[in-house]
Amino acid sequence: MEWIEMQKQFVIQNLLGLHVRPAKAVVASASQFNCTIQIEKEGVQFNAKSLVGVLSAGIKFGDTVTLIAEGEGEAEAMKTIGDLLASPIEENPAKKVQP
Amino acid sequence: MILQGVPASAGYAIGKARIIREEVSHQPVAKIDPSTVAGELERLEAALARAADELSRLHAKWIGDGREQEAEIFEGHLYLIRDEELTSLIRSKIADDYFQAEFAVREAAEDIASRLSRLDDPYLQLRSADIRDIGDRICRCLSNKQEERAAPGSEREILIAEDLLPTYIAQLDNEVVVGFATSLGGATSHTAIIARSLGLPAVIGAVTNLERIEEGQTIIVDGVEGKVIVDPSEEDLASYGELRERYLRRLNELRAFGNRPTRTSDGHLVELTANIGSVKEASSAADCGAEGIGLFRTEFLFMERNDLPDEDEQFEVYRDIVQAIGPEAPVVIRTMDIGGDKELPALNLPKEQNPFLGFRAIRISLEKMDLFKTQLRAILRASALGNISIMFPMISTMQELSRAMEAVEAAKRELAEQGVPFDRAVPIGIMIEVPAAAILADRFAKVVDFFSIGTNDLVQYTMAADRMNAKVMHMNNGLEPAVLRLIYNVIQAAVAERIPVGMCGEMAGQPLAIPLLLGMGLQKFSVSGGSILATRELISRIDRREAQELLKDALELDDPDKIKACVEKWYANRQASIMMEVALGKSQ
Repeated sequence: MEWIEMQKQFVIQNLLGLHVRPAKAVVASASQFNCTIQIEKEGVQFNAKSLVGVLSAGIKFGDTVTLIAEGEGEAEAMKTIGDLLASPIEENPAKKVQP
Repeated sequence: MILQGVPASAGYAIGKARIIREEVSHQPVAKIDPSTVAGELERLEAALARAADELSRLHAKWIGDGREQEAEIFEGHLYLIRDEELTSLIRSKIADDYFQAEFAVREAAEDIASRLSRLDDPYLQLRSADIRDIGDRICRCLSNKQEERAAPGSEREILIAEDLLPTYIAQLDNEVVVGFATSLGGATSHTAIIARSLGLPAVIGAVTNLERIEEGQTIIVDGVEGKVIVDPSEEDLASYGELRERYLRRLNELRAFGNRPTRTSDGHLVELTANIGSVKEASSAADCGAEGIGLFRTEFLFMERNDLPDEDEQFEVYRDIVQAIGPEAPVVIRTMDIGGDKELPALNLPKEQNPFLGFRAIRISLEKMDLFKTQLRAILRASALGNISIMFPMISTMQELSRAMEAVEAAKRELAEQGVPFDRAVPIGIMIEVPAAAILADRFAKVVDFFSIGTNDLVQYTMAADRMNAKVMHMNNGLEPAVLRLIYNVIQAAVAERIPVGMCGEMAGQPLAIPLLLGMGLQKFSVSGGSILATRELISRIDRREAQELLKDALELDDPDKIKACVEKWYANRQASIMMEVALGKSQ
């Protein structure tokens, strides 16, 4: 079966960016899928199943990244990891305020 | 021989030197025959599995000990050892470059370490040392060696090495190894963090001449002052032995006060926080049991540089502090208190005749609105991440306060328009350190959310006595009746308006002042990190009603020496033991 690459843009909502703890959450989630999953930032792609990869991207709060998945389970992977990227991954302080 | 280094983990240790030498540091390129690639890859897989197994056990052990922060370091290592990118890099160095497995591991670890070190992110807790640590672990598993443990012996040992890796320290036998000294590393490295949490005295980094130490020499590690004493004299041994005993005794007494709220003996809760001047101090304050940050002096952001810190740079610092102390913990950020004697090169301010009465702090901020607004925006942005309050220094008049509050409102409007999150209800308070503000405390209390009394300046302004001038220094005394009455006035004004009132000057940590302040109704004490536990202990032994009686007596007296004697007598009538040195560090 042929898989067509899927991709979608997300704006990072975790206030402290993807530092070690949220990056671990992304890697743990991505590793459950068989498809290849990349996170692209400023034209460079990083392996979402690798902590080294995700950390190397140096992703900060408010950054726009593109999630790219290809292979078995890609639609589900896009949804699961996309939801994660678009959420405040860590428990943010109770009194987080909207402008 | 005394070697000076950086104190990384407090305490004193006496033992025999054991020299740890780097085993394989600069191996030459080791190539393999292409026909053995498959075997080499198999060897790698087995080593990776063993290494992961070791790390899982370490992680479980530290979780079991309730040390989650440290356990997380090993969890990070576990992730890395299973990391697709690291492992595929190692595999390709074996399969494509025909590197021997050990060499491939070291090369790959080095590549990744240098890649991560280029990222300028304070949250990247996995530092090059951790990656090297993992490389070493895999190599050890490759050569099928057991994890090295200190040989069981009756003698206490001090490890001497160029560098020690965090996981190596974590699995040391604490009965045998009583301390260590290294010439590399720093006080904030993971090695130092682990040493502190194990209570293992250590001097890390900047120790020169370590290589002159010989195996078996007697060594004293002074983790308080950062000294390594080689072949100490009998006197040194005796005095350090005593110091060690005293330190351990006091530590034991104080340890009980680490993780608990601060309460007087009759059950009144007070807040006990730390004064800090840098991000590093925020982490150590958290280790010291501080309930938050009562005063963050932002001056270091502005000093010793020729330009001004921009909004992002400041935001990152404020954010790091919230991260270090925790999002729930209160953090009071004081806007820049610079000028006069503290130089601000970027503004090129002229030297002044009388800097303490001159152009400084909020007076500069209100004149240089751009600079002020940048700082306020950065603080407000950080307020979305934690429990932050803003505090203005050196406020003397209501007009200054309203201009400063207008600036906050303007900054909030800008951020709201730009859609940047911040805490709309961020509390705004002032330092009470100018007598003018102390006298008008009842008026200020109607406008602000909190007071923090800065005694260092309040005392010197009230007494008109320069604390640097030896001739008048004796008048610079917080127990002067005029000072006590003024402080009491401020606290009463705050209580009447139901706003919280704290103190962040030196007086807040002084045993002679603490019962008087409790008697006055002070609710928040902010002291240096090292004084937290001793202050908590002291407060827990004071009954607030008794302190109120003491205050009544003290306020009748006209002589600061008599007030001092009055407090001492009050202590003596209770428990002699609570007249203790404030900080462990002062016990020497």
